[in-house]
Amino acid sequence: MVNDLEAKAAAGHPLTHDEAERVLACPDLVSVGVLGELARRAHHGSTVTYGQVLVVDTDAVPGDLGGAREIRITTRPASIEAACAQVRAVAAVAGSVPVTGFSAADLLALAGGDHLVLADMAARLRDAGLSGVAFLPVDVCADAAELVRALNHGGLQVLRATVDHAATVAARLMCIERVAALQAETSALRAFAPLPRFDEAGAPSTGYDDVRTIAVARLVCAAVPAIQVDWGMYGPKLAQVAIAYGADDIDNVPAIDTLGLGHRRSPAEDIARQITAAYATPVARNGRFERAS
Amino acid sequence: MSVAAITDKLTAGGRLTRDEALEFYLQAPTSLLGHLADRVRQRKHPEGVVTYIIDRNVNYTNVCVARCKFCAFYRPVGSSEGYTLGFDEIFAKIEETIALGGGQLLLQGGHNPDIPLEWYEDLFRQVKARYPAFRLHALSPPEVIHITRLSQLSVPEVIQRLIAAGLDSIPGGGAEILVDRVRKLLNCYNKATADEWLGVMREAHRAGLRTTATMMYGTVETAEERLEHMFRLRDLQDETGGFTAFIAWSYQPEHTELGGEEATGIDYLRTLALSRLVLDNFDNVQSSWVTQGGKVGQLSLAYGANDMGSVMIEENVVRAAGAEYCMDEFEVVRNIESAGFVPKRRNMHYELLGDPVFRERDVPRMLELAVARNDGRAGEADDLRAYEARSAAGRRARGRA
Repeated sequence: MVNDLEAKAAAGHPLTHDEAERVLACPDLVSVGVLGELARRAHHGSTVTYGQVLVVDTDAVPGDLGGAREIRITTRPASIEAACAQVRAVAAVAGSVPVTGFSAADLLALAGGDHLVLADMAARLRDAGLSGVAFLPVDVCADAAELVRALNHGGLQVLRATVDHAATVAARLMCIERVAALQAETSALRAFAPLPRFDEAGAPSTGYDDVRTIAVARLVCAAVPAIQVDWGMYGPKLAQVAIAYGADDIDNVPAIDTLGLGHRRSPAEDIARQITAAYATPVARNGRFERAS
Repeated sequence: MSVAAITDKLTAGGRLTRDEALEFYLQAPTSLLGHLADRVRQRKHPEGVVTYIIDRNVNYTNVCVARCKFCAFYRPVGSSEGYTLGFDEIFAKIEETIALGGGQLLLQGGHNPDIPLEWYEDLFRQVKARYPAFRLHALSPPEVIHITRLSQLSVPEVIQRLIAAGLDSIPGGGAEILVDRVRKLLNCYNKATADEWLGVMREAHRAGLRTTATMMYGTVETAEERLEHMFRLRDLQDETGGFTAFIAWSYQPEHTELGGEEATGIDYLRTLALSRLVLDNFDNVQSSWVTQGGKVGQLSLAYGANDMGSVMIEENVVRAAGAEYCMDEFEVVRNIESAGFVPKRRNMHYELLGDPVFRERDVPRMLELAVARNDGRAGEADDLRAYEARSAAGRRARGRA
């Protein structure tokens, strides 16, 4: 049972390692949700933010921005010159919409593992129009704090910590604790998306795993402003249920209406409906996590 | 009565009234609904087993005269996309099902005016002759009503003839919401009124059949009408005790005439939990992973469900409306175990059959559900020519114009 942790969750205080392990092992899933939701409300009241993202996953420059409040470049650049050229091309059509992109791990690889070179690259990307680095995969990056400092030194924010692979509950907790430690050291992160971006072949994560992970991330990473779930990757149903387990930001909501959503509503209307139906108040935000008025 | 007072009543084992259920549904936090529903599940299934069935969901025809506004599956009489499977096609599906460890077909289809009662009887007899142990969970109440209209026989007569031919149980499809105002708005009042649906189930139970009960919510009904549906089922269960399980799923709007939005995941979990509390005389509540996806389907085990439903093997109706989830036995079992339960195979009567088949022998993985015809071919099978068609298009197709 985890009911004894409710007061701590409601106060927004972070759980210890042992407490987090208890929550992850708790068979009473609904009680886990109670803790996650208490922590979410302690940090954000009834507000749940969402970001409409136009993903750029090729070299092509987007023509229609739709309702985008963030343009996110997810390609893996071949060189710093190619990365800067792509940012400039996208920024030229973005107007006031923030352009984010790239994985911090990929940028470090481009820099040959040299943090001074990385800081210089960050400055060039910022000058090209990049608002922030989109992904910091904490399971991949050995020295995430040093990486964040180098990017910050070059003038780039690291917007979110992410997890590429975490096949076991223990691996998920390790990532969560790395993020908590990273935030304690740098205060740099705006968000943490704790659900793995890549499933293990033949054995995708289960709903129980996912909502427990969300809850524990919210409960452990008290200093990280937003715990995210990815609408595009995890689907509207799990994303909505995750709100009841502590998620306070729905990321990667499509910027452009698709036939898959039907003709009677836009993605923004649907995400607002989903958040409201989770007994929360939807608030749009942009790629810099600035809330819409 | 307040939420706290209703909680006390439920905790003491009391039975919800309609007013109490509505108050609780509208006012209770989702976590409280989940806790109480989970407590009922634990009381009814203290051994920690979560069951599932390996069967195949076969839709023998998509030709239908009912024209329900929420349906994306049907094709009108004479449509070039209409199909009716032949006996050999159905036998092949049974053999594939047996190879995967299954023992039952869930056989449902459109209200095709060109399929007479005799076709069903011949099919059932041949299935039983070829596969004596195989079960036929077939023909939802509106299909039975449709057959009574074609054959001009009464419901008990049709049920008796189908039982004599090999019918084992009746699925609870076509219930939608058992309130006639809703049924009229959805254009499914004419296929079966609420009383007619319940009447078929009453007769089936009297004839010794066990059946399931379903609810498709999220169209035009109010919260009161969802509850009215549950209470009508509870009343009939008090009378006959013939329902084995309750299954709720959300309306799938894509490609339907009605359109609109799908109910949310949290709405599903709340509705499921409430059904567990209202339907206190139902032993089993199923998860609907086929409409909610595997993840929310698994979460339903924390909100009152004790059964993961069917491995399904094939599905046509929900897929037509936009939901394309797939879970084979391996995946169903992995989800049950990851939620902390013990997986057991069952039959339609919820008798335990054993441990997962894939742990006893090699079973091929199934990464997508099959469809009625893999080649997408339309048209009716040749063996339909032996039966009298009722529609002009059907008579022409069978060369009897």
